[in-house]
Amino acid sequence: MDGHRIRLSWKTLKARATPIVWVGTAICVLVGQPATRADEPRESAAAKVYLLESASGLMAASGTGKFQGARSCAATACHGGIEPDPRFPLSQRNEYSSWLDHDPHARAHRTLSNEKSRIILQRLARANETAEDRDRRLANCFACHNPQPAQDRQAATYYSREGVSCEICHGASEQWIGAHVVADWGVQKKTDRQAWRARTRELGYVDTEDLTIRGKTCAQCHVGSPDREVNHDLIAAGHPVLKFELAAYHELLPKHWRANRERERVAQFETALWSAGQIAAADAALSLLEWRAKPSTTKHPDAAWPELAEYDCFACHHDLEDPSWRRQRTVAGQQLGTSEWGSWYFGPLRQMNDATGEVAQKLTTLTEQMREGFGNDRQKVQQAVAAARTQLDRWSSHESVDVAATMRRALDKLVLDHEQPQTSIRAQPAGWDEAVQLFLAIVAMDRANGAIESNAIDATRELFSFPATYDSPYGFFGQRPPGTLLGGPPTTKQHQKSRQQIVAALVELIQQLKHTGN
Amino acid sequence: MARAMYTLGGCLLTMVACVGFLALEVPESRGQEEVSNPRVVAEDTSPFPGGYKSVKACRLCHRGQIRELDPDQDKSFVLLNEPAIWLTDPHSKAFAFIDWSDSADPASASPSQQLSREICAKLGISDIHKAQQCLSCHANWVAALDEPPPFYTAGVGCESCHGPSEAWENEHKEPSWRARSVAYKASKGMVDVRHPVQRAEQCFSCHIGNVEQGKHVTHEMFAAGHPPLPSIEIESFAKQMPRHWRYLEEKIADSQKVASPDNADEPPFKFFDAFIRENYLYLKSDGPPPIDHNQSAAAVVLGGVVALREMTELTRDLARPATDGSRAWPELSVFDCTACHHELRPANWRQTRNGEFRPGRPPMHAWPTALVRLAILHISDGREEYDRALDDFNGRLSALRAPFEATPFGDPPTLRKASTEFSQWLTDDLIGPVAAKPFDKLAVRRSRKLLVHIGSTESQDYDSARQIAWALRTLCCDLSGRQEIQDLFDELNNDLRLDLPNTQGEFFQTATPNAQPHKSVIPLTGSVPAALAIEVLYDPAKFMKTMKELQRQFGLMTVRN
Repeated sequence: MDGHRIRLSWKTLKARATPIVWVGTAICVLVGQPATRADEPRESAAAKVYLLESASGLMAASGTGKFQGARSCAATACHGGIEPDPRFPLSQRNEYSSWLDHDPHARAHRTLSNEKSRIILQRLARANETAEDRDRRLANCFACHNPQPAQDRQAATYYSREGVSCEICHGASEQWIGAHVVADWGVQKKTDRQAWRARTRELGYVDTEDLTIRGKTCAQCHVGSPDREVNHDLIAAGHPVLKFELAAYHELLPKHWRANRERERVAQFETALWSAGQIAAADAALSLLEWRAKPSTTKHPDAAWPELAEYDCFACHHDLEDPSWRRQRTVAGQQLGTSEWGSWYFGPLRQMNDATGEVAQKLTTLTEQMREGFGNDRQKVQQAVAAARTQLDRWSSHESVDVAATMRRALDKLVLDHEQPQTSIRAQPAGWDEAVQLFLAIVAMDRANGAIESNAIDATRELFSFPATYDSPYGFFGQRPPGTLLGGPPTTKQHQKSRQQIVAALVELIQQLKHTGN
Repeated sequence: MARAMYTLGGCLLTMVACVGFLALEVPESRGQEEVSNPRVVAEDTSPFPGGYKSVKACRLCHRGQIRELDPDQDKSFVLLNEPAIWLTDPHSKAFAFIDWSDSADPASASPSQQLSREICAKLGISDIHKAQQCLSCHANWVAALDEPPPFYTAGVGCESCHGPSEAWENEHKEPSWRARSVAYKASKGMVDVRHPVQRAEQCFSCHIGNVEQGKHVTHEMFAAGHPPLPSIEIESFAKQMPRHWRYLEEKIADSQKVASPDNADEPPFKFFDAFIRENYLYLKSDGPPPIDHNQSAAAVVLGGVVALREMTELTRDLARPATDGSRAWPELSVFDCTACHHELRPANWRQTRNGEFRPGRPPMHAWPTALVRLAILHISDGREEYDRALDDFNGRLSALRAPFEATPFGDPPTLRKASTEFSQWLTDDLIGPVAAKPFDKLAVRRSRKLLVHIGSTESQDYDSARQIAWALRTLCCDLSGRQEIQDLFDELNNDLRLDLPNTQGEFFQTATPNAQPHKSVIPLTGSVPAALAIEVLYDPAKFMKTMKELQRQFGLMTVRN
């Protein structure tokens, strides 16, 4: 147009440019942001197929609802409050915030980005493996560190980098997220707990108030389950060993629920928790062994049989020395050169003496199978495990059996010197695992009543610490550091922590328990 | 005339009677009796299972004292004092150390006898004299025999290494035996212990194991208390026995020492040329063996490869189920002991070393591969060929290792196949060519250089470090005058226990100047606890440092020269 010029002033420019700039920025922010951070291990989309499909336990069994993601629980008015709300009777309304801020489970996926994880993956990588192998390996890592449901069970709001978030323990929420805010949600709990549990389970809700169910939920990762394991290959590559005991882990967990109220409400809470943990961990260990013993082409590439992580670490991992305490311990007729099995998860269970003793019997059969050595019959192991697991399940879910009371009795028998001294600890625990489990059992019993001085417990805990530069209870069986034989430095105090000392300390603690009429 | 006939007849009769009288006597019953003329000892007609006649038969002639040289130049070919030296050798105590049957009071038994009693109790062995699984190594009761050989309580005697003597005992006394071919001697049952490969096979049949001969220490025996079998470098072990033989140059030197002016120009001993020709045929030379062929070096290098082959064949044979169904898999003694048997520590050098091992899968023994590169170097002409040959070897070694890693403890058929292929290749393509090529001074120097290079650049486990250090010590015999190098070997000895324990705490020096004396005296009794303790204290970084220092010293030597 002739003679008609638009005067471009700064004002006009700003007015026109501003919306463009804002829109452009918004587009960049939303579109350009990568789904994963640069330092996280990358898996292909196909990896997710391997997750949770065959996983056992509550996660897979929790109904058919979709996983919404933790953010759907996180509204300030629901569970994302800033402070605990004392007014509301059931929930503190700040569970999400509390979990996010304090709970290590919220950071579980971040572990995979750190240097140690990188090194573990590097050591496990083999020269001639396929991309599929690598994906399966990562899937095994993610199965605990960042469990994800299959694609068709992810709601649109599901975000794939949340670590161990709400629904991993509480169940996929699509079908109960609406129901659980209604006033009559928990009414049936007081009258018929079992029925309420069954009904809500169908919606996908996991009753984590029940201690055994809680234990089983934890044990899925902390002990392992099908397609979710830490095995000997991983440990050799640098992964920490998994040694789970519910009461001890529970104590350390920053809780996002009213823990004090729970302790008041449940009689002898810590003991009940301990016994629930023993059953849950044993069940998980059995289910894991069952999976391991079954040959399959779809396992992660480091899965192996014989699985060395099933056995007591220190049975093999010790220096060769002479004289050796092992020589003093083996007797004629005993199988030589084979390893202990089941000393961590099954010690206390073996002590218990329920009406028929069938669980102990089945466990003995299984132990014999495993102790045949590394060339044992895989089929026979599968059968023995299935039998033991069925028996354990039957016993623990039998209505007329008060499991907590039975376990308490078993603990009594083990811990307190009774008419059968050969089952007491002076004759018993032969090994490190048994000694530690016994200590944890004593602590659990004491927690419930507060009988023992905390100094005594702390002092005993000190005795269990590994000597410096060792990842093993070196000295527990009276080994001397090799230098002493050759005129080297004398035995340090740490090496003097022998089994006698530990057993003496445990006996002392038990006496204290006994004196308070426990 | 008739009188002469009678006299003659009488003489003849007397002679026949004398000979007949002598013929009736059984050599065993003579024991230590003097025999005036060895050639007239009558043939013993009683059957010897397996052809073993025992040390007693040998000692009838081989009864000289230590350090005696016969003034007869020809007779100085053999000193006849071998059993006397053998009595200072732990091999002569091999049975005595484990015999707990004599001592009525267990408390009075020596520590090793008490240990033996313990082991037998746990394995369910009631009588040590009937335990073939023990006596196969400790007293040469090989699998083929139903009963132990005669005088088996002598332990590991002459025939354990030289072969059953019944068929060759008489013949070998003649000087003309020296001219016989090795094949002929072998057909009579005499083992060719001059050949470095044959000698290695004989030693390793016990020190590593041999299933066919029934010589094998199982993991069950170790768990019952048997001390772990150490790694073995054959030349160091042989020298420290102490050795009761001389090398060819030593024989020649000794013969010439007693040469009189009359026979000074003659060959050192009878049948000299034929002897050289027949016994050093493997060196593929048409005349006498090359003058500067270093037999010690050849023994070190060939011993290294034969050790790998014997270990591989042991794996192959143990992965086969026994005919009586007694052998189950896995047989854990086939795997590296310290791969499992070490204390768990944070920042473990095993986790950070060369990435060739698959984590969590017990590998095969590492030490037999420590010296094989020397053999590859020996047959390679120049750097390129060496690199190519080394790549080829590493590929084959990976193929051998693969079944160990594919599943924990491997799958027996796959292991057997891999072991068979590998050991065949070793025999045909490595051992044969190496044995045929002489070791001259240049070869020795190159081997030394390669060893310090390996030791200073690659992290080694304890047993492999010992192999390297032992081999170096033997190859550095000619450097015994240099103080810095001797100091470094002393340091290695402290860290790795290169000096072995012996029965009398004394090292017998042979008649030659370049024998290596013991610096330390290590009694045999009670040596196992200290040996195991030293292994635990081993630090790979320190070993590498010492090797680097040694490398520097070698470099300085070249500069000075």
